[in-house]
Amino acid sequence: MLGRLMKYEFLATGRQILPAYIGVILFAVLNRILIEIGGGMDTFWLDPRWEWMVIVVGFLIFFYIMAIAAALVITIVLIIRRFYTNLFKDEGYLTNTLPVSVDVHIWGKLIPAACWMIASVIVVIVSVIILLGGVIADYWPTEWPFELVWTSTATLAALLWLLSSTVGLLAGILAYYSALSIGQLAKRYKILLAIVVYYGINYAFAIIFVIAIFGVVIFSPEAWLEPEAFNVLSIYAMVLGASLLQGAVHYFITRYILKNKLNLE
Amino acid sequence: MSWQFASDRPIYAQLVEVIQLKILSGEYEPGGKLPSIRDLAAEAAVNPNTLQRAFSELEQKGLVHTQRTAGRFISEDQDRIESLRQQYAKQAVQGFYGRMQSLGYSTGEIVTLVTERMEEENL
Amino acid sequence: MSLLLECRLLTKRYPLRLALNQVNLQLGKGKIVGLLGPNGSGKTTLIKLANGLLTPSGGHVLVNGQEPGVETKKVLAYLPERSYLPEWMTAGQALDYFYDFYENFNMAKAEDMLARLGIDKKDRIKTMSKGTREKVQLILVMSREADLYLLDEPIGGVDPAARDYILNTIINNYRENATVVISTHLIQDIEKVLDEVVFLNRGEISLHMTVDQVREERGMSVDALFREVFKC
Repeated sequence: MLGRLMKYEFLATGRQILPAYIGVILFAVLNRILIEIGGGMDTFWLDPRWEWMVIVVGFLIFFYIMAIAAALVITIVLIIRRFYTNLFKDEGYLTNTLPVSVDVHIWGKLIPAACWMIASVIVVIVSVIILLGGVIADYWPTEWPFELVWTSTATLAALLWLLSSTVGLLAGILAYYSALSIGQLAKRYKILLAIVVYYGINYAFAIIFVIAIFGVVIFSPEAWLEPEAFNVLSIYAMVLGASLLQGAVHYFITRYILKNKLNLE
Repeated sequence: MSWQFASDRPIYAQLVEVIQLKILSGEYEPGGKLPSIRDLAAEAAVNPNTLQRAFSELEQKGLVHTQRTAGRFISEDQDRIESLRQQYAKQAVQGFYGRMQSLGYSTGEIVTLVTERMEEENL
Repeated sequence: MSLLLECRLLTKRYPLRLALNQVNLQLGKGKIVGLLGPNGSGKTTLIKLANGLLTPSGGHVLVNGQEPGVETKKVLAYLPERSYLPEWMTAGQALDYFYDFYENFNMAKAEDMLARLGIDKKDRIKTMSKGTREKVQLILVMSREADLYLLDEPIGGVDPAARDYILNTIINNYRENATVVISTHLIQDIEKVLDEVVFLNRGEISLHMTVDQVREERGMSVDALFREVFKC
């Protein structure tokens, strides 16, 4: 079931997101071609014949940066819209009558959404590589100033980083989902309520964590003196913990509303 | 094309009449197989349960009988069918006669009218 | 469980009105039932509650003895009044979708009906007329071998020929263990197809009888009785 849901999720969202991504990449290719015609990255702005070219390329790079921003923004907007329209509008009559549990519905949207977020970053990186090409190779340091040693701590840190990034990503998307779910409970001004709830809950969590840290400082100041308190591992662990907590809260809010408080128009 | 029914009498009773008519007139031949409930219900655009009830009534009247797995068949008892047919025929004549009399026609006039009708038919 | 659909003191309250007021209803198997009432009487509300698309303010609705959930959705086929298929899908994709999620979906039957109605699998929902969309939705629902069918105004906006086709499909689809509930205000067309009728008036059930009973006891058709009961 989950697999099938995700298949349709990718089908439905891909139709809108992929053209945007392809646009960004094509834009990068176009820019690169123009630059190469002008004599390559290093020299194209020196040749007087190509003065107008510089202006054109300037504009194109400006638009290109807009396109990158657009790709990232479009991804988020689409994720939000997809969740809302597929569950709470007309399509909801189809989706919510499927013999599928609420948990599977949530993961069925969450995982593809996370994939698209990662994909959007990859698209941006790829397009930058296309645009700058050789420049990157020129400036890529051949010798790193430090050794990359895979100690157990380093491995653990890398793992924790990966874990907290992933959980952070999922929690971030779930924050939208829970805000949307609460928003649609209202009779009117659903979107407004969703926005208020989104920022409201985020601020609430921020305040909670600040209080938690101050609490530790106040009640056990010796904790800060511990050499282990502030190393990379503990910070990642705290971030992971915070993300996990937020993610769980958002997940259960969304789940509760979808399961017990669904009232489609 | 769906069959037409009067609106103030139960449909199953009307179905009984319609099917009975088909049996008595020979449209459904004695010993022949009745269409399945599903097919006939779809043709008549009626509820299958209603048709079922009609079939049961016909069975009670002895016009139809069910063979376990083979389906429903019209009775082969041609005498019974014929006598029932004559019974209804007599009722029809009775009714016609009664209506004509209430219009004031005498028996002789009625016969003349009927004969005229026959001759029109033959043309 | 011999009761396919049961409502016990089912209530649905909105801020400004009471849509369903402590409704009690029991529907058995193998019946074609008409849920009749004027607009706003609560027919759609009742159907949505049975589907789990609304949550009751009070009371219970049970399908095969269970509250609406994953298990009931497996055996319940719902045809809403609105267009609920994603516009980007083709007719063929819609069929695949149902095939993917419903075990009791009969693909061969669906394809046959599509062909019979002259609908191309490659047509996109977006490009279809309202009538064609409704036909596709009907095909999807009737191709499921479900225990309970809830059809909300299936013949409302459809031309008479399509209406006949729909009723014909419902009759041909009839199974002894399944029950079809048709909610409508067009009674004349479907009266002959119904076993039982339920009159819903302003959130309350005012009548629940078989069609034969109505004709025998009241001496009139259900349509005539309806006009009398719901006289303006």
